[in-house]
Amino acid sequence: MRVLVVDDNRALAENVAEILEIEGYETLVVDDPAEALRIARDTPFDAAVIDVRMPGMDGITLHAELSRIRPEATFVLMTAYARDERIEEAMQVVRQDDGTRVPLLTKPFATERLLEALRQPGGGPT
Amino acid sequence: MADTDLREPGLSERRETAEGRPLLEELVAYVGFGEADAALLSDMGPALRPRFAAIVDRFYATIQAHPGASQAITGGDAQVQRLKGTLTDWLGGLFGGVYDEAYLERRARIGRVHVRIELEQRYMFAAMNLIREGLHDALDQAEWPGDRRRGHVAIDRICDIELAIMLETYREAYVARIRGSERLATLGQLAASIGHDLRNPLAVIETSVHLLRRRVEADPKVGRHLTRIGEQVGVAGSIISDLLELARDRDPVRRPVAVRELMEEAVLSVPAHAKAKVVLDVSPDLPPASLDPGQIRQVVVNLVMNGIQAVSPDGRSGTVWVRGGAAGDRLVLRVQDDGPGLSPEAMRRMFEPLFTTRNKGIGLGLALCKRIVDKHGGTIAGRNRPEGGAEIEVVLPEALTGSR
Repeated sequence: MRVLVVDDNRALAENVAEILEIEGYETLVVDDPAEALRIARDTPFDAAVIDVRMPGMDGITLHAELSRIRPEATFVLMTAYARDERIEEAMQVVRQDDGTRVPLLTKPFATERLLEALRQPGGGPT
Repeated sequence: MADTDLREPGLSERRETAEGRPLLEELVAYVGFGEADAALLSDMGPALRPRFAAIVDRFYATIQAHPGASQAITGGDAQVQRLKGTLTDWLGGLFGGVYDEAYLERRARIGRVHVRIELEQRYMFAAMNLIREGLHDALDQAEWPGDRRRGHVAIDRICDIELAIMLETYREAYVARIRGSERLATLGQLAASIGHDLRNPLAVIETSVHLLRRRVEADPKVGRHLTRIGEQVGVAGSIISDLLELARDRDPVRRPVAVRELMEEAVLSVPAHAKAKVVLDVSPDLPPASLDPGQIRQVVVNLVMNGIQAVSPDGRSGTVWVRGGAAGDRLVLRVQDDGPGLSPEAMRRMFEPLFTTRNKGIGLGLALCKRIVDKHGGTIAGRNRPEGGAEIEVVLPEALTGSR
């Protein structure tokens, strides 16, 4: 079970990865969305935890690209800007294959919330 | 002229111009009003007084003939009669002969009534002009042995001063508005951008605490500090949420809501406090109310938190009562406490953003309450209870009409 953790805040990306590793996930930490896209093209992954606001490419665009590459993967978005109306609006159109909304975690979040979000159908450590 | 209301609180500070010069002194110098003018006015007063009634009649005939200006008069003939008496006294005041700080304050108090009834400035200008013309006509017709040319000049000068005082009261109101809602909005925008940015470092702290805790569980002291850090991250997060709510400034979305459930939920979401008991008292037959549930829940939460902090400032214990009831179609929410009560300053400024009497908290909770209640078309007011402690009352009109 490999999780891509993408956040331009490297400290947070590494913390999230460490938490996931303790729970038995294998992780790949990336602090640049374009780099994440390159890695995703030739490295298989089962889930991705993606920050929404990043320089160069926002997390919503990255999610769209990654889900095209690997539609069956589980996606979790996270943001410090949850009350921002533009993000709320953008989140309305972010859907998973089965039509449900992609979970959005508001930073700071309790660790349990992240694990729950990853345990959606298709997620969870094997 | 409108009724004077002597309960109107005057600004306690001395009125000054932007350069710090006392307003009256500056005005008097600007229009060239001197001792001689004061003496002339005082001298011609008795000669003009018999003609005040004609000025007053013409003044109100003109106002009543004007659809815009007459809207300021809502009390019918009885009010017009009362207003005529007030205007006659006001005209008498012009010829009093003493034009000092107390005069300025008396005249400004009348001006503030116009601001409060939202009389537009253009009507105030036109009205002052009617008075000026009336006084010049009166002087032309009066038996007065003095120098008439200088008399007319003195009338112009005192009318200029009066006009400036009236404008000053409008400026006061404008400044108060800036200090209130507009300041709140600007502050909110600034705070929101900072607040958002703080959430990233908070997220790192939160996750680091989580990771550390797994490694040091054996040492209770370290664990206690980690718990403390975690709790404080939570507090910081909720302050940021308040700031963001301020910045959002969204209009209420009303829907029918069961008030009792809403209040129970709000009270439950306030962290329990060892020294403060919270008692909920909502009348059981309260019909559903039309309001924005998220916003009104926040009002109740903030008021209860405010009450808890009021009763337990130095470790003593107390009670906070949260009451909900109906008065006609109005929903009335009251949060009462048995704390020390409100100081006069707190009573005047408690809903101002950034006003706080406590060393923790940044003074946004009640300001936020006021804005939400305002947006619901309601009122919020604080007072001291006769039996001790404070009470904040929220009244939401037309919340219980049941049709919406």
